[in-house]
Amino acid sequence: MKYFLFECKKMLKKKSIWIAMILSVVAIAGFYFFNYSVADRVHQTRMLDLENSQIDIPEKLAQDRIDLEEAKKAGDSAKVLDIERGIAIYEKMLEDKTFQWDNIISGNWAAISEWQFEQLNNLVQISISQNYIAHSIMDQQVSMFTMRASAEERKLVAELGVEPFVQWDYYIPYHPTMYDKHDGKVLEMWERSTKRYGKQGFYFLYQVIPAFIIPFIILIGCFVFGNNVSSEATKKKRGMNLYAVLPLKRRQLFFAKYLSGLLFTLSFVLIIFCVPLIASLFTSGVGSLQYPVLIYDGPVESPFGFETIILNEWTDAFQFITIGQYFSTVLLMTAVLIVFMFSIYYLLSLFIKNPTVNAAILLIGTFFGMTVLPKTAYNPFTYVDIHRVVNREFAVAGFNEAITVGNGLMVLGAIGVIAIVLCYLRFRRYVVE
Amino acid sequence: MKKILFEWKKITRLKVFPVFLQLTFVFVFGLFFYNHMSQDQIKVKKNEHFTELRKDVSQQLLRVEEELKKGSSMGLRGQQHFGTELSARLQELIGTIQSGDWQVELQTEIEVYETAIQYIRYDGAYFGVSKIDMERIIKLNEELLKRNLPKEDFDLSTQTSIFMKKVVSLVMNPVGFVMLLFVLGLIVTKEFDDNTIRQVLTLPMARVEYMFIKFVAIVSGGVLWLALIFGSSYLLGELLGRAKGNVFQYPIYTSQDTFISSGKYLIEAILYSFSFMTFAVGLLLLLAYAFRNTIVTFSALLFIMAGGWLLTSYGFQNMFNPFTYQMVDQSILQTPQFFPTGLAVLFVALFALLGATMMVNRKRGM
Repeated sequence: MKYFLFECKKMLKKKSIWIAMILSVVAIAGFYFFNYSVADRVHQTRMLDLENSQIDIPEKLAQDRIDLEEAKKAGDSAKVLDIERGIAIYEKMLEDKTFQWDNIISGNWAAISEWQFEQLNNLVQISISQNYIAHSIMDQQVSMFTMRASAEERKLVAELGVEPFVQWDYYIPYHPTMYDKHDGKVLEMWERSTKRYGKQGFYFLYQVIPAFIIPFIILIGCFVFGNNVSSEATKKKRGMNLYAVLPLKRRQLFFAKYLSGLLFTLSFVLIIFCVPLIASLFTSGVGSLQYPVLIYDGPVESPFGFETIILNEWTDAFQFITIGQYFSTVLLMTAVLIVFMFSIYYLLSLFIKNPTVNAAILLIGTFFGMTVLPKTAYNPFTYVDIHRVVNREFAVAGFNEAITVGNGLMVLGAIGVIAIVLCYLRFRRYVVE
Repeated sequence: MKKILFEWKKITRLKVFPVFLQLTFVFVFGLFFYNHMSQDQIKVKKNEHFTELRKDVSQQLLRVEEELKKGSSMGLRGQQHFGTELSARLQELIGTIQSGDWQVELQTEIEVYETAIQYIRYDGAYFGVSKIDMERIIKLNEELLKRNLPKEDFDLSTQTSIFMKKVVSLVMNPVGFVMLLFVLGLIVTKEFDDNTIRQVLTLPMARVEYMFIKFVAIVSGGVLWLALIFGSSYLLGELLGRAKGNVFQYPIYTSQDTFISSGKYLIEAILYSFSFMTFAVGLLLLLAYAFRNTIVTFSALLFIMAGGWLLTSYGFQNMFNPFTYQMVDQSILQTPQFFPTGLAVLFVALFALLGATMMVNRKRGM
């Protein structure tokens, strides 16, 4: 225990570690505020549009009514029909925009979400009734799965009554899913209209987790805290050799050094993820832990008992869990992923004394494992993309029910333990020559 | 010159850089080999895509026939006429894909989309490709026929210029540049960690001169790396890939719906890569001399590069922001109007960074 505390004390005494930590905190806080400003700009654009519409549309309607009277006097029935149709559309538009404006101003998000759910649900019901997808984006149909999941999500958000994620398309706020098959210009437009921004702390974290921020922060943590052996084992600083002459068991020393580095890395990652939550207390708050998160359930069982290997956007199932449940699973996977990545980094540091080289090798190895090796339950790098394991996207898209959180914890944990054993075997007779 | 060669000796003795160069070559070669083995997949992908489109059209035709039984209308008849023609042309296209005659394939694809554009005018008629994309593909195919070049799959092609483009998109990005700096930056940061910088500062050499020598050494290492990437991908394409015809005239769409030839794309890629690499080295030097510690320097570098990438991913692609150019492929195709001003921006930013590094280095003592 004493050696462990001593290693922790040595870590805390290093100015470079404090500077790296402060930089990291500033970086993540900066990222949160930058994202908040972008989200706020999207929201303000919406409010400006709603505000201007309440002036522009009545003016247009007044002009249209004048044109209608003139057309009636002229006896132009086709034009009268056309203008009447236009007036009906604009009156509905004005009603919708006024409804949104009034409810956003009063903070009545439940009403807004309920209205959005009605838009989405209408599309779902029409599509089901005619067995044909009723909505397209620039001539490419929206996936039926996306429509169904988006409607269900909006219903749950309406029941919760909280401010949803900020999104460019606030009329029909689709939730992007893996069933989307857009390409070309349509894909660009789809991505722009469905990109979601989380202003609140928890929603911001949910927004950035799919972008591999967790492995990035873990890599930084390993880079900062994983060098307590390699920094004492250079040709200039042979501090490691001093331990050989002390009455100190190698096993004790190894675990003191390893565990201190691991503890600091775990704490570092946790602190970094708490920074946006703390920052959000000064902006929109942390958000609700009941917010729905989409989980893919894949194809339903065939009545004949056959396993299907085709995704079906009309019938494939899904469910929603709360963001609180999502984070508790992500936290658990993150902890085990930290053990895995830190152990590999530590093993590398026992062979190569340059932290930058170790970080580069770990990064290249992780990238190789994620992109080149197949996504299977036994490939530990499958679980680096925590979001797509927790929401079961990998399991459903790959028709591999073995890619689960439980298996991920076991595989990462097992390889982490093997790496620790290898580290110890290398460390046991480690002498700087 | 001797001092620069001495820095090079230090780089090679570290062994990391030669290994990094070898790994880069293995990556390029591995990618080419993978593409070479996956050539059949290109036909399979095209087949699947057009078969799926034909299946959709056939299902719509069945529905139209049922509605026609209830009552005929001009719209339904028109939809049936063009739908049937579209289905036939799609079948023909699938046949030409199998036969491998690329000129007939391109021409047939044009006819498919021209028919599809007529088809989707009718209510209830749906085709899985948007009208804008169909018009773009027609324009591309016509251009390819004019230049006498087959259409390439940008992910799996072994055509020299397109393979080089793929390598650029995979390597010339924040990850590639950070890898290079992690490997080469050691010759600067290691001296601070080992305190050998104190001995260097006793030598009769100006600090600024020493900093400049480091800069030249690292940049020349970067140039060697870039030369290896572009050179090896070019040679693999020329010797083992498809290099027939005027391959460097392949038309590539930009975001402004204009074409840029693949040769011009590669020239811009080389210039942007070199410019951004020197800018990144300038940034590394400033951070290294400011913080004088490996961990802090590279952590700061990682955050700055990640921050620059975030700005562009959020759509803040400003001509005067040097980080706009760290995704080389994206900056050439998404913001073609920024060339060549972007190069000037990078060099001005580089001089500013070197100036700041000189200011930091001015004072005596550590």
